[in-house]
Amino acid sequence: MVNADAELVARVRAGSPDAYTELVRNNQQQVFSILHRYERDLHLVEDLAQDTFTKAWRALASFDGRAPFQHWLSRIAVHVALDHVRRRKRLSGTVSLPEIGEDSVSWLRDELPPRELEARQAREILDLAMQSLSPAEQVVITLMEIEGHSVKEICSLTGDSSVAIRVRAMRARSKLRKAIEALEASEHE
Amino acid sequence: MNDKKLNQLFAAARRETPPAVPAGFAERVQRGLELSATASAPVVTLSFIDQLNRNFTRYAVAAAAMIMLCAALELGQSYTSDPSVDDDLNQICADWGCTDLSQ
Repeated sequence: MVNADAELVARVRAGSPDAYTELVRNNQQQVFSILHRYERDLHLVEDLAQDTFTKAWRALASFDGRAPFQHWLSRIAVHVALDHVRRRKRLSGTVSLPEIGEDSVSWLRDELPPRELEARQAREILDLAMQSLSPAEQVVITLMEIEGHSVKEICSLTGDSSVAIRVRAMRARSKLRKAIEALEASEHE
Repeated sequence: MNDKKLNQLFAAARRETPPAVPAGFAERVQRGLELSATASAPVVTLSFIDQLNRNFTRYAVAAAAMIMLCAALELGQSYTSDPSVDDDLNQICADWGCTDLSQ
Protein backbone atom coordinates (compact mmCIF):
# COMPACT_ATOMS: atom_id res chain seq x y z
CA MET A 1 0.00 0.00 0.00
CA VAL A 2 2.86 2.37 0.86
CA ASN A 3 4.48 1.84 -2.53
CA ALA A 4 1.10 2.03 -4.26
CA ASP A 5 0.43 5.37 -2.56
CA ALA A 6 3.87 6.69 -3.50
CA GLU A 7 3.23 5.72 -7.10
CA LEU A 8 -0.20 7.39 -7.03
CA VAL A 9 1.28 10.58 -5.57
CA ALA A 10 3.81 10.62 -8.42
CA ARG A 11 0.96 10.21 -10.92
CA VAL A 12 -1.05 13.04 -9.32
CA ARG A 13 2.01 15.28 -9.54
CA ALA A 14 2.39 14.32 -13.18
CA GLY A 15 -1.10 15.71 -13.76
CA SER A 16 -3.41 12.70 -13.46
CA PRO A 17 -6.49 13.72 -11.44
CA ASP A 18 -7.88 10.15 -11.48
CA ALA A 19 -4.88 9.03 -9.44
CA TYR A 20 -6.00 11.26 -6.58
CA THR A 21 -9.44 9.61 -6.54
CA GLU A 22 -7.66 6.30 -6.13
CA LEU A 23 -5.44 7.73 -3.42
CA VAL A 24 -8.58 8.89 -1.57
CA ARG A 25 -10.14 5.45 -1.97
CA ASN A 26 -7.02 3.78 -0.51
CA ASN A 27 -6.96 6.01 2.56
CA GLN A 28 -10.58 7.05 3.21
CA GLN A 29 -11.28 4.37 5.83
CA GLN A 30 -8.27 5.41 7.88
CA VAL A 31 -9.28 9.08 7.74
CA PHE A 32 -12.87 8.26 8.75
CA SER A 33 -11.56 6.17 11.67
CA ILE A 34 -9.47 9.06 12.97
CA LEU A 35 -12.19 11.67 12.59
CA HIS A 36 -14.92 9.49 14.05
CA ARG A 37 -13.07 9.57 17.38
CA TYR A 38 -13.89 13.27 17.64
CA GLU A 39 -17.31 13.49 16.02
CA ARG A 40 -20.25 11.11 16.25
CA ASP A 41 -22.43 12.61 13.50
CA LEU A 42 -21.56 10.69 10.33
CA HIS A 43 -22.48 13.62 8.07
CA LEU A 44 -20.06 15.86 9.92
CA VAL A 45 -17.40 13.14 9.80
CA GLU A 46 -17.83 13.05 6.02
CA ASP A 47 -17.48 16.85 5.81
CA LEU A 48 -14.32 16.69 7.91
CA ALA A 49 -12.93 13.87 5.77
CA GLN A 50 -13.63 15.93 2.64
CA ASP A 51 -11.83 18.85 4.25
CA THR A 52 -8.88 16.59 5.09
CA PHE A 53 -8.51 15.35 1.51
CA THR A 54 -8.92 18.86 0.10
CA LYS A 55 -6.16 20.13 2.39
CA ALA A 56 -3.98 17.17 1.45
CA TRP A 57 -4.51 17.91 -2.26
CA ARG A 58 -3.50 21.54 -1.79
CA ALA A 59 -0.45 20.62 0.28
CA LEU A 60 0.65 17.74 -1.95
CA ALA A 61 3.52 19.83 -3.34
CA SER A 62 5.02 19.94 0.17
CA PHE A 63 4.84 16.15 0.63
CA ASP A 64 8.49 15.10 0.48
CA GLY A 65 7.96 11.33 0.68
CA ARG A 66 10.23 10.87 3.72
CA ALA A 67 7.28 9.48 5.70
CA PRO A 68 4.60 7.26 4.13
CA PHE A 69 1.67 9.14 2.57
CA GLN A 70 -0.69 7.51 5.07
CA HIS A 71 1.19 9.00 8.01
CA TRP A 72 1.33 12.44 6.36
CA LEU A 73 -2.41 12.27 5.73
CA SER A 74 -3.08 11.22 9.35
CA ARG A 75 -1.31 14.36 10.51
CA ILE A 76 -3.63 16.48 8.38
CA ALA A 77 -6.68 14.56 9.68
CA VAL A 78 -5.59 15.11 13.30
CA HIS A 79 -5.24 18.85 12.66
CA VAL A 80 -8.65 18.97 10.98
CA ALA A 81 -10.07 17.17 14.03
CA LEU A 82 -8.35 19.61 16.38
CA ASP A 83 -9.80 22.59 14.49
CA HIS A 84 -13.22 20.95 14.63
CA VAL A 85 -12.99 20.37 18.40
CA ARG A 86 -11.90 23.99 18.89
CA ARG A 87 -14.84 25.25 16.81
CA ARG A 88 -17.24 23.03 18.73
CA LYS A 89 -15.82 24.25 22.03
CA ARG A 90 -16.37 27.88 20.97
CA LEU A 91 -19.97 27.04 20.06
CA SER A 92 -20.57 24.87 23.12
CA GLY A 93 -23.09 27.41 24.40
CA THR A 94 -25.25 26.98 21.31
CA VAL A 95 -24.69 23.29 20.58
CA SER A 96 -26.50 20.76 22.75
CA LEU A 97 -24.35 18.51 24.88
CA PRO A 98 -24.40 14.78 24.18
CA GLU A 99 -26.76 12.81 26.36
CA ILE A 100 -26.03 9.51 28.04
CA GLY A 101 -28.36 6.54 28.05
CA GLU A 102 -29.70 4.50 30.96
CA ASP A 103 -27.08 1.77 30.49
CA SER A 104 -24.27 4.27 30.77
CA VAL A 105 -25.85 5.74 33.89
CA SER A 106 -26.05 2.24 35.38
CA TRP A 107 -22.37 1.72 34.70
CA LEU A 108 -21.53 5.03 36.33
CA ARG A 109 -23.52 3.90 39.40
CA ASP A 110 -21.50 0.65 39.44
CA GLU A 111 -24.66 -1.33 38.73
CA LEU A 112 -23.05 -3.08 35.75
CA PRO A 113 -19.96 -5.27 35.88
CA PRO A 114 -17.13 -3.44 34.06
CA ARG A 115 -16.85 -5.99 31.24
CA GLU A 116 -20.44 -5.33 30.21
CA LEU A 117 -19.75 -1.74 29.26
CA GLU A 118 -20.22 -1.45 25.53
CA ALA A 119 -18.11 0.73 23.26
CA ARG A 120 -21.08 2.96 22.52
CA GLN A 121 -21.77 3.53 26.22
CA ALA A 122 -18.11 4.27 26.96
CA ARG A 123 -18.15 6.73 24.12
CA GLU A 124 -21.23 8.47 25.50
CA ILE A 125 -19.63 8.91 28.91
CA LEU A 126 -16.28 9.99 27.48
CA ASP A 127 -17.88 12.47 25.07
CA LEU A 128 -19.62 14.15 27.97
CA ALA A 129 -16.57 14.08 30.24
CA MET A 130 -14.31 15.39 27.45
CA GLN A 131 -16.28 18.66 27.50
CA SER A 132 -14.16 19.65 30.49
CA LEU A 133 -10.90 19.27 28.53
CA SER A 134 -9.27 21.78 26.24
CA PRO A 135 -9.28 20.82 22.52
CA ALA A 136 -5.55 19.99 22.61
CA GLU A 137 -6.05 17.78 25.68
CA GLN A 138 -8.97 16.00 24.00
CA VAL A 139 -6.82 15.21 20.97
CA VAL A 140 -3.85 14.01 23.04
CA ILE A 141 -5.90 11.76 25.33
CA THR A 142 -7.82 10.32 22.36
CA LEU A 143 -4.63 9.57 20.44
CA MET A 144 -2.93 8.08 23.47
CA GLU A 145 -5.65 6.17 25.29
CA ILE A 146 -8.17 5.29 22.60
CA GLU A 147 -6.07 5.02 19.46
CA GLY A 148 -3.12 3.62 21.38
CA HIS A 149 -0.36 5.82 19.92
CA SER A 150 2.97 6.28 21.68
CA VAL A 151 4.16 9.70 22.86
CA LYS A 152 6.65 9.79 19.97
CA GLU A 153 3.92 9.07 17.44
CA ILE A 154 1.69 11.77 18.97
CA CYS A 155 4.57 14.26 18.73
CA SER A 156 4.85 13.47 15.05
CA LEU A 157 1.09 13.70 14.48
CA THR A 158 0.51 16.94 16.36
CA GLY A 159 3.89 18.66 16.00
CA ASP A 160 4.11 19.22 19.77
CA SER A 161 7.04 18.34 22.05
CA SER A 162 7.03 15.14 24.09
CA VAL A 163 7.03 17.14 27.33
CA ALA A 164 3.91 19.04 26.22
CA ILE A 165 2.23 15.76 25.27
CA ARG A 166 2.99 14.09 28.62
CA VAL A 167 1.84 17.13 30.59
CA ARG A 168 -1.37 17.40 28.56
CA ALA A 169 -2.11 13.68 28.94
CA MET A 170 -1.60 13.82 32.69
CA ARG A 171 -3.77 16.92 33.04
CA ALA A 172 -6.44 15.41 30.78
CA ARG A 173 -6.62 12.22 32.85
CA SER A 174 -6.99 14.20 36.03
CA LYS A 175 -9.73 16.41 34.54
CA LEU A 176 -11.52 13.34 33.13
CA ARG A 177 -11.51 11.66 36.53
CA LYS A 178 -13.05 14.75 38.11
CA ALA A 179 -15.61 15.15 35.30
CA ILE A 180 -16.71 11.52 35.62
CA GLU A 181 -16.93 11.82 39.38
CA ALA A 182 -19.13 14.87 38.87
CA LEU A 183 -21.25 12.87 36.41
CA GLU A 184 -21.56 10.03 38.91
CA ALA A 185 -22.63 12.47 41.58
CA SER A 186 -25.18 14.15 39.32
CA GLU A 187 -26.63 10.82 38.20
CA HIS A 188 -27.03 9.73 41.82
CA GLU A 189 -29.18 12.77 42.54
CA MET B 1 -13.14 7.57 40.41
CA ASN B 2 -10.02 5.51 40.28
CA ASP B 3 -7.66 4.98 37.35
CA LYS B 4 -8.95 1.43 36.85
CA LYS B 5 -12.43 2.64 36.01
CA LEU B 6 -11.07 5.29 33.66
CA ASN B 7 -8.95 2.64 31.92
CA GLN B 8 -12.04 0.45 31.55
CA LEU B 9 -13.76 3.34 29.82
CA PHE B 10 -10.84 3.78 27.43
CA ALA B 11 -10.65 0.06 26.75
CA ALA B 12 -14.36 -0.09 25.93
CA ALA B 13 -14.12 3.01 23.69
CA ARG B 14 -11.19 1.39 21.85
CA ARG B 15 -13.48 -1.44 20.76
CA GLU B 16 -15.78 0.92 18.89
CA THR B 17 -15.85 0.09 15.19
CA PRO B 18 -15.31 2.99 12.81
CA PRO B 19 -18.18 3.91 10.48
CA ALA B 20 -18.24 2.61 6.95
CA VAL B 21 -17.26 5.14 4.32
CA PRO B 22 -20.32 6.25 2.32
CA ALA B 23 -20.37 4.99 -1.27
CA GLY B 24 -18.98 7.40 -3.85
CA PHE B 25 -17.04 9.42 -1.27
CA ALA B 26 -13.80 9.51 -3.29
CA GLU B 27 -15.67 10.70 -6.39
CA ARG B 28 -17.35 13.46 -4.34
CA VAL B 29 -13.95 14.59 -3.09
CA GLN B 30 -12.68 14.74 -6.66
CA ARG B 31 -15.74 16.69 -7.84
CA GLY B 32 -15.37 19.09 -4.90
CA LEU B 33 -11.73 19.69 -5.84
CA GLU B 34 -12.64 20.38 -9.46
CA LEU B 35 -15.38 22.80 -8.42
CA SER B 36 -13.17 24.63 -5.93
CA ALA B 37 -10.39 24.85 -8.53
CA THR B 38 -12.81 26.54 -10.96
CA ALA B 39 -14.42 28.76 -8.35
CA SER B 40 -11.25 29.90 -6.67
CA ALA B 41 -9.08 30.34 -9.76
CA PRO B 42 -7.38 33.62 -8.90
CA VAL B 43 -7.96 36.52 -11.29
CA VAL B 44 -4.60 38.25 -11.47
CA THR B 45 -4.66 41.97 -12.17
CA LEU B 46 -1.21 43.48 -12.43
CA SER B 47 -0.54 47.16 -11.79
CA PHE B 48 1.72 49.19 -14.11
CA ILE B 49 4.57 48.94 -11.58
CA ASP B 50 4.08 45.16 -11.29
CA GLN B 51 4.25 44.81 -15.07
CA LEU B 52 7.34 46.99 -15.14
CA ASN B 53 8.96 44.85 -12.45
CA ARG B 54 7.99 41.65 -14.19
CA ASN B 55 9.46 42.78 -17.54
CA PHE B 56 12.42 44.71 -16.15
CA THR B 57 15.04 42.33 -17.57
CA ARG B 58 13.51 42.47 -21.05
CA TYR B 59 13.34 46.26 -20.99
CA ALA B 60 16.94 46.50 -19.76
CA VAL B 61 18.20 44.18 -22.52
CA ALA B 62 16.19 46.06 -25.17
CA ALA B 63 17.57 49.41 -23.94
CA ALA B 64 21.16 48.10 -23.93
CA ALA B 65 20.70 46.70 -27.44
CA MET B 66 19.34 50.06 -28.63
CA ILE B 67 22.32 51.95 -27.14
CA MET B 68 24.78 49.53 -28.73
CA LEU B 69 23.03 49.83 -32.06
CA CYS B 70 23.17 53.63 -31.93
CA ALA B 71 26.84 53.56 -30.91
CA ALA B 72 27.63 51.18 -33.78
CA LEU B 73 25.77 53.41 -36.26
CA GLU B 74 27.60 56.48 -34.99
CA LEU B 75 30.93 54.67 -35.27
CA GLY B 76 30.07 53.48 -38.77
CA GLN B 77 29.15 56.99 -39.85
CA SER B 78 32.32 58.46 -38.43
CA TYR B 79 34.33 56.29 -40.87
CA THR B 80 32.43 57.61 -43.87
CA SER B 81 32.75 61.06 -45.36
CA ASP B 82 29.27 62.00 -44.40
CA PRO B 83 28.98 64.62 -41.65
CA SER B 84 29.02 62.97 -38.28
CA VAL B 85 26.97 63.78 -35.22
CA ASP B 86 30.03 65.72 -33.92
CA ASP B 87 29.95 67.94 -36.99
CA ASP B 88 26.25 68.51 -36.52
CA LEU B 89 26.76 69.41 -32.88
CA ASN B 90 29.56 71.81 -33.75
CA GLN B 91 27.34 73.41 -36.36
CA ILE B 92 24.55 73.85 -33.79
CA CYS B 93 26.99 75.32 -31.30
CA ALA B 94 28.32 77.71 -33.88
CA ASP B 95 24.81 78.76 -34.79
CA TRP B 96 23.86 79.40 -31.18
CA GLY B 97 27.13 81.04 -30.26
CA CYS B 98 28.35 78.55 -27.69
CA THR B 99 31.80 76.98 -27.31
CA ASP B 100 32.93 74.69 -30.10
CA LEU B 101 32.87 71.12 -28.78
CA SER B 102 35.79 70.05 -30.95
CA GLN B 103 38.14 72.51 -29.17
